[in-house]
Amino acid sequence: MPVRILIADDHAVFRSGLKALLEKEADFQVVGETGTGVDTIQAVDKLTVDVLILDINMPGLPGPRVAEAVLEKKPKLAIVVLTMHDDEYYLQELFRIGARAFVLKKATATDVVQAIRAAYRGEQFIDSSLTSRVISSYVGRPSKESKTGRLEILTPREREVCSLLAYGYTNAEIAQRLFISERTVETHRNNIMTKLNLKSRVELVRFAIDNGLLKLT
Amino acid sequence: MSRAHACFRFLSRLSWWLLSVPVFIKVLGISLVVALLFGAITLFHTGSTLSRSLYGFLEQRTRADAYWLAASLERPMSQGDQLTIREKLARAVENAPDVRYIIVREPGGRIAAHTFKSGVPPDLERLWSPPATGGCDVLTLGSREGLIVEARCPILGGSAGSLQLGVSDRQITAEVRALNRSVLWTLGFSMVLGTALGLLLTHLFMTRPIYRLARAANRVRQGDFDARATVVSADEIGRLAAAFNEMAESLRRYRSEVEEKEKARLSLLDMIVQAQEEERKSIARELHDQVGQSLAALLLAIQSGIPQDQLPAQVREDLAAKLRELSDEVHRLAWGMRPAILDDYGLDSALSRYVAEMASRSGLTIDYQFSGAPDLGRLPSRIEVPLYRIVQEAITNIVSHANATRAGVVVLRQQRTVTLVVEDNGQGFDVASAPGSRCLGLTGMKERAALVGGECLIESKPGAGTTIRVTIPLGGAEPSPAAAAQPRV
Repeated sequence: MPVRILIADDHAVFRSGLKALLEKEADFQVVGETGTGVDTIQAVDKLTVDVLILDINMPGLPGPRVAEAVLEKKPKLAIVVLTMHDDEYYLQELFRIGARAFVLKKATATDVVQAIRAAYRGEQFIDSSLTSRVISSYVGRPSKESKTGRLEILTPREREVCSLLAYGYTNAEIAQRLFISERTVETHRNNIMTKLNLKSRVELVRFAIDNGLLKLT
Repeated sequence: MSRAHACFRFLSRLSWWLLSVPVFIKVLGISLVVALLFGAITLFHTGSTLSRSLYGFLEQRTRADAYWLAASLERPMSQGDQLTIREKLARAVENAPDVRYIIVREPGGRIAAHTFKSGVPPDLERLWSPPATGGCDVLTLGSREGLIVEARCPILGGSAGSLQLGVSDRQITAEVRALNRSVLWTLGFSMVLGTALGLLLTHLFMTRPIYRLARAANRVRQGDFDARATVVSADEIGRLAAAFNEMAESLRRYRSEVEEKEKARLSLLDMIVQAQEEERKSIARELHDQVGQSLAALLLAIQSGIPQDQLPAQVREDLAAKLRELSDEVHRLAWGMRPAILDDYGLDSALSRYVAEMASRSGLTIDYQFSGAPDLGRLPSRIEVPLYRIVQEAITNIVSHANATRAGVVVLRQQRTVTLVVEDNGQGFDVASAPGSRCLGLTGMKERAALVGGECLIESKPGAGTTIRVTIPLGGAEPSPAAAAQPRV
């Protein structure tokens, strides 16, 4: 039984290229081509489609909206997203909406075919070049538990300086505010970083937020 | 030598101090000096005039008295009537307390009678000489008690003897002293009155206009170019006030011209930046949509379209690889121009991606932290774009110039402000003397921040790393001419 594929992409040359590629597979059958989001939604309605290859950068309706609309009509439709964007944010959103595969346009032919097959089978597929990024975003930031110190080991003055640094004040401004010299500010700053085992202002900001020295209103 | 020098310095300091006395006091001082001079001259002149006339009067009276006394002594002298002579003398002295002495002499010069208690003083005796003319002589003698006016008269033409009548000037001196005292009192009183009047008038017509002028000048100094001095007269002060007003007017006009120009410049800058962003956006899109797609299509064609015998597998592989490379380049270029993720997902996502990308490309450790109260939404696009561009510029600089090992990007998103800090531990630079190309990038950051009503502060010291801090108030602030017109750091 052939896999009925609808190609939705606004770039005509690319569409024909992809069509030629897919038709080399024995079990693939390209049942239609569309160039806009609206056309795609209509085509899905009219034709019987197993797999939709969707370019999320078509003019008019944004890609994610097209995917949503299509899935409303045909919830069991397998969507393979085809895109130039390799940002994992698009990945997250589209998977959340219900797409099953995410492939970059510069991918190899085998990847595209693999993606279609996997989607048809009901599995999910991510382009290999994106895997590492997805995994790192899944793993998230390294946790910062007791590597950083506790608030009590700072003197009151150091706490002041720490808070001001977290708010973004420069050394000169802190010196002015606290009526001390810039050298003193630098000394305090070095002490704070050393005592709390912090490597950069960013870590200092995180520490400040975690310990209530920085209040975001 | 140094003694004279020190003396000179002291004198010049003293004169400076004296000249720095307020104008009010100076005017007062001048009028006092004039009053004193006037008073002194008056005093002196009236005193001496009165004195002179009183003395004249005294001489006349003494002569007359002596004449009549001599006349009354004619018969007693002729008859040698000592008793009557003494009586008359005593009565004369009694009646006129100013009479110091009366001496009656016989024709030869021998003293017949006198009024001295003891004898006639020898000095007086020495001064005597018989009256030359037939009439009376008056002369002035000095004595221990003051001046004596003496009249000498012949008795009966000199044949019966002569008479000396001496009168003291005590009354005169008393009169003159009384006059002086009264003049002094009057002078003092009128000086006080005059001073008070002078103070009032000086204040009204001189110092008050000057103070008003000084106050207006002060207001102008503080930036209020609408301040004007009231012109109440056409005298020198009035002319000064008028000139000052004209000057303030032209300052005001000048400043509003400058403000207009600055506003025009800022709006032009804004337009340029917007146009630049639009252009980048459209270039990115073109690159992405047209070139990128075409490359992808080409890639597909290579992989599938050309039959095996026309294109050997190895060549195909190489072509495919090169196309992928090219595709990556184009993608990176488009993304560098205007990352779609900034528009679609916001600043946090775009920055996190950018930082990760730059960190891996340069080998630098770049920390990233975006902190915001969770209930606040996304920042408006017109603020996200400049912040993104500033981070781009800052990180590019760090990678190419700073020689750093670690950098950090912190964004604090609060309800009314957003703060961005980009910091590195590199070699820093001297902000004041940044070379032209560097300077342009730094200026660009400041201008971008100023255009959305914010401020960009760059702090760096050679050897101590660099900190760039951008604060942007939220709530639709207009680009402020004041912020952008600050002197370049």
